Amino acid sequence: MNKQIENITQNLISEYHEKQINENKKIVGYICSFMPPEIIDSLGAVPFRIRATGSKSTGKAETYFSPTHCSFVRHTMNNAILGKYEFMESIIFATTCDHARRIYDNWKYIDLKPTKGYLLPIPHVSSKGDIEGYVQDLRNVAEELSKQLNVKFSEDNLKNSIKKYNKQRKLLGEINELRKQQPPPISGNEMMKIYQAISSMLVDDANEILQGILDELKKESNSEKKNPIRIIFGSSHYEDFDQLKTIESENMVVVQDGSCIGTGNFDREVKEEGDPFENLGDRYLTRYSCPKIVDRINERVSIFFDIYEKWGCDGIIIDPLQFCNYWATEGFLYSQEAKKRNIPILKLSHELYSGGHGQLKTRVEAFREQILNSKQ
Amino acid sequence: MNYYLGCDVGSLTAKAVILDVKNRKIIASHLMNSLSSGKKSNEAIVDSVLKKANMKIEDIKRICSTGYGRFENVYSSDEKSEISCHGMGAFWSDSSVRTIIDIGGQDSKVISIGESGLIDKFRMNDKCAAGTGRILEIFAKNIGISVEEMGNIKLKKKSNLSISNRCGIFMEMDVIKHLRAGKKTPDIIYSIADAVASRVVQLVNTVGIKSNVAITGGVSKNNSIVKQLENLLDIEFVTLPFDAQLMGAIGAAVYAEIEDSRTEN
Repeated sequence: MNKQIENITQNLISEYHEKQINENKKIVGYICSFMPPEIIDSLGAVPFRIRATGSKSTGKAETYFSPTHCSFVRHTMNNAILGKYEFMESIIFATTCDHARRIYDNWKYIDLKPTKGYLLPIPHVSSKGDIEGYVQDLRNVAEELSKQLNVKFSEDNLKNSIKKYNKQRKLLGEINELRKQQPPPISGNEMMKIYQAISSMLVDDANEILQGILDELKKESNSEKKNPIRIIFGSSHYEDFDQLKTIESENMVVVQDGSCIGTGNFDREVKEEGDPFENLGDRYLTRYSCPKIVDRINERVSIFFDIYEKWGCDGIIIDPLQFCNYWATEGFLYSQEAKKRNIPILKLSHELYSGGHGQLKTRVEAFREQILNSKQ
Repeated sequence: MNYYLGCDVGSLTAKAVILDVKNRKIIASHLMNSLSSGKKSNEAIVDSVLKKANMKIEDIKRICSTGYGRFENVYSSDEKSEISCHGMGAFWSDSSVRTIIDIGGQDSKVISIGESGLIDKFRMNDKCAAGTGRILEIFAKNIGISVEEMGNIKLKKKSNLSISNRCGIFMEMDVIKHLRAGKKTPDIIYSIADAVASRVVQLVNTVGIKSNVAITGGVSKNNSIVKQLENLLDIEFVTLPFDAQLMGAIGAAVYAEIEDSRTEN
């Protein structure tokens, strides 16, 4: 695995981010995949998808949440109370779900740093009117962020950022094509780390790393596994790499995913001609992504099972964060469809950074045995 | 002779059997409380079962381990999940079995198997003690009797005491509340059995039932829960010819023989 990727995923403020800060680059956090990093990039700042990396406890955050809030928001708030995000200039919050929305409310209530921020409203459906409203909200966030960063917004810069992110999507698409090989040249855990790392980097730097990884994978495979069971993975926000490592420890490999930090986040390019906000709005609300968008459920399930076939998967593992209300219903729909198609499916859920890998290992091992039995 | 040894080291108890698979005979079995580590439990249980059989480790053709301590058995050449082993153990004991409800110390599982005893599908409980053997130990302590006594108390046909089954801690709070209110022990035990069994029924419903159904694991010895499960599911469990708590270890020994045949071929 690329050393820079490892360093970025293991630390909130990595060597890369220290360098950016030393060069007076401003870092802008964003909490949800519905916030286009293109806008942050066009204003010359480093986009940083918020994660709870390094969090060991949720103790300080428990006062502000109930035990049924997901562990991502509790860990994130705990980190925030400990001042772990103070290196950021501003944070774009979002109305992704009620859990994530409460991060914004509590952030303001406690008066945490960074004090600059913006709450981006995100619709639940992708009708024409909703896309129009979302496009206006994207214009508003660009205007507000330009004031906060004291940088003049330029439409040409935004168009240029869109091109660079489209290039990133192409590179990721090429890497993902290689995952159709058996064994795939890269594990699901390594791929998730790549997805996470590049979501907190300048797009040019990220693209350079991706090109290097692509060239390397074309030359030689990283895989140490022989004929592994191939898994497609569905989840909400995902950052517990130990959890994924345990899942892959049983001669299984995740070859594709339907998570909002993974494939879904990088699906479909943004149109480069015309109004950049309209193009962003159209792409971000209609891509294959998040169960939040309730009028695209059938399409999403169909894409998931299409990927299952194209990547030659043997089974499905659904492992969202516990108490994720979106995935509670989404996971049910996937298991119903899997049942219809006679596809093995294992439904799990996890609390971020909570361990419990013994029980997980038993479930995964039994699932592998179930798949092998079905092949006999 | 072709003897195979299966070890099942769980969170509460360690079990081992030595099987003569071809002649369908259990040569020896042993059950003990788990020790402080999986390694110690495996060493002790293997030693004990060999002594009972008057055998040495060299007399055993192959060993397979299961349970949470399966990766810490130095004698073992194979590890298999306890889900597969409970399925195979029950099937080997009675080939008519197609669904297994296994309630152990730390978790409960529902396993659906095919015509050769291999897992078809399964579900395990969530990370909660409700619906496991561990919670019964806590309740027995609250009431001031042993788990065995709790399982053997003659119950009334119905009790209207309510006990939550969403969470082990809430269940315990309800039990304490009823004890303080001076409710009768058989009524409380009936409600505990009902709450634990209802929790397991939720799991059963997600997998579905194929007859015949066997119950395995330590809780299979608790009559009150077994009866309540039969009532709620409207079934009768098959009576297995061997100790139901040994099914994981029996399954492991059968898998040792399967792996051995595969290697020889």
